[in-house]
Amino acid sequence: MEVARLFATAVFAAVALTSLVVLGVQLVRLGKKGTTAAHVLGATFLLMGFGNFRDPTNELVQQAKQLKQREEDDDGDPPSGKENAAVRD
Amino acid sequence: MEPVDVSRPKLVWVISIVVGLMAASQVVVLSSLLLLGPSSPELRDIIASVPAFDWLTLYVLAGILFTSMVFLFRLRSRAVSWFAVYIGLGSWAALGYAIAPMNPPYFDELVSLGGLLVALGIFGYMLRLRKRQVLR
Repeated sequence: MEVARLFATAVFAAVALTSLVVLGVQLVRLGKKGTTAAHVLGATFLLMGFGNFRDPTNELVQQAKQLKQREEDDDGDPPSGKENAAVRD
Repeated sequence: MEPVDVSRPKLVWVISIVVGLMAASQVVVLSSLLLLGPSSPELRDIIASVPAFDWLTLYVLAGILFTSMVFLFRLRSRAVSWFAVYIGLGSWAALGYAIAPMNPPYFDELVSLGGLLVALGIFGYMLRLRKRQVLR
């Protein structure tokens, strides 16, 4: 059953990639025609390039820094029960 | 030059009506689930677990499929492009669901594979009709 599901996923991937290639070819053909639609589409892609996809608050970096700091502060293994007993004796 | 009258093949009747009704019923079922609310608590939990983007994907796919079937019924060659878009988007969505850690409740790989194979068969038939200039 797992093999069948894997095969199904592979078929989805193949068809999806084929559709992407066909889409690319169609876009190139449209671009070569130089119609208004092609200009509008090209301008849209250009505008998408100006978008800021990076997190402006740097939240992920801050979280990673905090995690690293916490790991450095809690360095070493916690004392085991035997060690605690030896200290008491 | 006068356009040649082409009679609608019987298979076009069957495909466009059956698949078109399927797409329309999908929109009706999705809308009734969203607007009227589910009948059981289990169904409510399932619906609550589906993200908004997935709802949108299901609606868009059903809309594209319905449009394609309308064009096929009218023997327009644009049906081929719309159906190709449907297959492309549908396979991307199916790939996304298949590689996700948990399958959504309405998705099964093997059922979707069967659907994809049927869709590819219909697509091949459409291409043949376009080559014979039945679709214009």
